Amino acid sequence: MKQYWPDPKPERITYDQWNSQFRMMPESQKKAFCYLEGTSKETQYLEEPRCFAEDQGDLRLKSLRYDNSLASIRLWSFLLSEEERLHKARLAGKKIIGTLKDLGTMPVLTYSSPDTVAFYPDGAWWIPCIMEMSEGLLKMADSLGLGEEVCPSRATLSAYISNNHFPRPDYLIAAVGCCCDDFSAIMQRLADTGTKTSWWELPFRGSPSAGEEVELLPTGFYAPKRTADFLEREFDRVRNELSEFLGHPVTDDMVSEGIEKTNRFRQIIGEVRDLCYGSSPCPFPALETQICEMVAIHFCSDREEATNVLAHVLDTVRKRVESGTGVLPKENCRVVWVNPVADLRVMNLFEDLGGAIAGTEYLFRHALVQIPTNISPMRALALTALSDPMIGPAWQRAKIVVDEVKKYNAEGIVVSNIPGASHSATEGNIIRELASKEGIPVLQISVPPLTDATSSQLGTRFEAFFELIRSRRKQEWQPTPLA
Amino acid sequence: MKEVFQNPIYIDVFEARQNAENAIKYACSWVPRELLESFDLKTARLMGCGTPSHESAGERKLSGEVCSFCKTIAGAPGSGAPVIGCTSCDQMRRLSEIILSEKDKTGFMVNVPKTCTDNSKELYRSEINALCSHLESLTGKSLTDESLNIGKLKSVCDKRNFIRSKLRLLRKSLSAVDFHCLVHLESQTGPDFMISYLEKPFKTKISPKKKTMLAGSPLTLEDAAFLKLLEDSGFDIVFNATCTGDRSIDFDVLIKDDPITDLADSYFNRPPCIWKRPNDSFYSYVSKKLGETGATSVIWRSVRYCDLWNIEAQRAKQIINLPMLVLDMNYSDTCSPRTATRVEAFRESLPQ
Repeated sequence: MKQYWPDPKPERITYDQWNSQFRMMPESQKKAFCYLEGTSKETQYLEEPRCFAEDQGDLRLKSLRYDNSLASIRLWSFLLSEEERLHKARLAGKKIIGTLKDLGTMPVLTYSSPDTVAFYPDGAWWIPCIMEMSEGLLKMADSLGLGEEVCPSRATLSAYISNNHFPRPDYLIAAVGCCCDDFSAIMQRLADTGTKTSWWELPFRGSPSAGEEVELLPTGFYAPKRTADFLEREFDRVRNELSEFLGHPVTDDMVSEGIEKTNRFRQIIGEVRDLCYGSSPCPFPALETQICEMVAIHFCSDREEATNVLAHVLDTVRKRVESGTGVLPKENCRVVWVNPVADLRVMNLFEDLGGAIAGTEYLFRHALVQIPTNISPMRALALTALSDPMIGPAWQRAKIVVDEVKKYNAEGIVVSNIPGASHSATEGNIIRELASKEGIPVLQISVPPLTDATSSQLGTRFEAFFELIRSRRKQEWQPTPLA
Repeated sequence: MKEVFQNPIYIDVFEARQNAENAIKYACSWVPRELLESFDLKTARLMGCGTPSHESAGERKLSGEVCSFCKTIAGAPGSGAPVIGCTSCDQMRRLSEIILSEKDKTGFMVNVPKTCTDNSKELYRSEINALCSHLESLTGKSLTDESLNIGKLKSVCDKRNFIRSKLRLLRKSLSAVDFHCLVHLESQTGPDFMISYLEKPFKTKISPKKKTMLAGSPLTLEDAAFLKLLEDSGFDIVFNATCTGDRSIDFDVLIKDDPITDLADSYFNRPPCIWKRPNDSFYSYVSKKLGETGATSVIWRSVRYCDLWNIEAQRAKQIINLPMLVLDMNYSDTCSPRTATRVEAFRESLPQ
């Protein structure tokens, strides 16, 4: 176990406090963390938050609140240095593979080859928030024919075309099939830019018919065996195309090793989730746990260092839980959060007003589950991809959310809709319907990329929801009113 | 637009739609209805009623951000009849799910692949086989085991092929409104009725007008008023690339050795939709049709929140490279002065 600079008493701190704290850190600690380790472009990445805000233009950082641990600074620095890391990976001779839409499975295959680095250009949907619209991506998307009726992922197209936010991938692997219409149309536009693209079909995970042969998926749902067979063949096809592109085969052994490393990472993230969502007081803030989960989809472009970063977070969280300390008051209302927020500040607002995250469903549950190791690697990837909560019936996703409530003993559900996203238009009501059968209160909100203008409205809704939850707590103790 | 509502074919479709209340509904033209009909099931496509009131009712049931076409389907009164859903686009998939959740065990979702590979063709075949098994358990009849019934599938396919070929023949001489109504009538009625209906004489359209192609989201019956507006503004819609136009009749089902596989393959290879990935085959098809029909302009009309057609508009303009009017409408806009002005201005902008 590495020795780290001791953490102060856990709390959420401001941007200025964060910078001051960073400056007090010993130089040796600042130089302790590297990405692309062992390559010609090995780079120390721990930076003062101010560097990211001022040099990269990540202006939103100035108005956020952060966990004050070293693990948190490391996590943020690792996240915010991703663009630079991708550029350096290319300089180090790695091929950059842009994986699109499936959120979690295709990177497992691509990272199995040591000369590749995979990332989701989809992540550009956060850029308008992080840069507080200063980058003009949504305006550019407008000019490309993607107006406000399209979800914020439209920033992906403009970021891709502008070449200003990430290096253009050498190769795209795009998942279509059971996919949002807007992102499907965006992927078609990305393929137009001339980048070599492999399309693969992510089929609908229908409920198997009576008597049909089925496969049990890592998330506990079933899929028709024929659909799993199909997807296994799809993964094999993509693997062959990738091998051809790389000029060498990506063998079963390489993929098995990749799965093993991924499972190690997912084991850590699973423990982080269990400790963060299952403990009171909450040991790690919502924003940081969201980032931890997000890292799972493509390891933030460096699988080895991503594993180290998460292990550091786990170590910090474990210590806090053992000592009974946390970053939020114990009485905060414990809630399961559905969908990632386009504006990160909303997670701060939620906690400031009395919330605590006690479970999540951020669209990519399949990126958090263990990939089976007792079957062929292509079959294992197929079953994992089939676990995607977005490709099955909405009631199954609703069940995942309700199960999360039960698992972490949460008191309510916040469904954070993404404006313009086709799934958000209908799923919220289905989740509400199932939750109401279980007597779980649900709050539905809509979070655009910047909520400054609507934060008071959102705040009022959070407060009302927390009041409802608190009143339900009291109900258990109230005597029956006199007749 | 009174004229449209008094159009005899329009009135017949209107009645057929009402009579189809208890027919098994299928959500999209990628569901091979011939299979349903070979089980002696009366079929009708879910088409919605393109009126502001139905759209509004659908919005109350779903949400504001659902496409107008799906809203009109959700806003129409439901029936107890089974539904065959479809994953052709995300909104239709999600709408199908909502409808199916109200139907207990009688519904089925057909997974339509977006890619065009040998593997996805296999997937589609397996979906159609699963649909066949579902229909067998729903009706208690067997299609796969009895050669007699396989003959029935072939007979239904022959009839539907005949109807499609007849419509293709009539196409050139019909007005856009009449053709639109006939396609809708075909989607709501059985093959025998339609075959006898097509024996009737139909009015011949008045030419010459500016030859144009219409592309975009599906048209509801009520969108006949929009087509009338286009015709009155001087357009001759020589090719309707919506899934409720020429594209829906421009294929035949070829049954040879393995009827269900052949049916699946015929549908898999039918004229592509915009959501195919990559969708080069859609543009190749459209280019071919533009050449054949002599269309010199394009009207690209998507309904509000139909991302697939709306986002594609700018790209289509570059690929097709003809003057293009892009309209993004809901059902209040169908014949609004704003729409009429834009259509007229577009017509005036084209060379005489």
